[in-house]
Amino acid sequence: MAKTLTIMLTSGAAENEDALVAVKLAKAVLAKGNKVNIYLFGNGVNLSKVETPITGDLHIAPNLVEHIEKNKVIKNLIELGEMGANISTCHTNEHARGIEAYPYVGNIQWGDIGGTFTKFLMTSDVFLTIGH
Amino acid sequence: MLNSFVIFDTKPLGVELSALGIRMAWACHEKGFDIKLVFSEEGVWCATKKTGYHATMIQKLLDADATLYCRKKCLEMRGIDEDNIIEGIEVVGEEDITEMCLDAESVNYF
Repeated sequence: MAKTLTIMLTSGAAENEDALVAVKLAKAVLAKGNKVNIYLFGNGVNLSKVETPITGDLHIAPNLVEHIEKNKVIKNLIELGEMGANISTCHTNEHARGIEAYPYVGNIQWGDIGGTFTKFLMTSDVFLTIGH
Repeated sequence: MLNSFVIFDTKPLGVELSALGIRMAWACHEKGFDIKLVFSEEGVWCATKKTGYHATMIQKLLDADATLYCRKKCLEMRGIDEDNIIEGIEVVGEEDITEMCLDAESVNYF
């Protein structure tokens, strides 16, 4: 019988490995026929938005860009949404970061801790917090 | 529905994480989840008597019959007297915390 995993991700791209672990774990769980919810909390909400790329030289060393690049996580979040994962954010944390009005990537949806997250938890068999 | 044991090991000011944990705990408690909070390491500063968001939310949780604990050894290591802890938070030792972790269906840290 399929089970449901809920991940609360509190790290963004700058904390690099946390978010990558979360998306890789979510993909593996979905591939086994189970269900996944991801709640983006804290810096995790930075992974939910469409980036407006700048033009010209970034003035960031290429190895540092590779270390902090958020699009490598976002690409996975888009794929997870297409695979059936439910992904929501904390709009309060978006507000704190001044990004609440920006559009979401993929199937990521607006959410709140009292409504969206607790609904996730009500139907979960396993709950993990990933982040720093 | 999962019951949760929530460990706070970050301080209330200068770090976002403990505020996230308090919000999560309040939301879960309001929705009827069995949730226990324990303040440990730098997180014991969340449990001290003061003003601000953490103190207000901790009092709301206590008034709503939530169960909150503070790790005795972490208080001692920081020279914090138990009299300075918000009334209603129970000061406990490692063995109690271990038991609560074993009883919980999920353990989360902030």
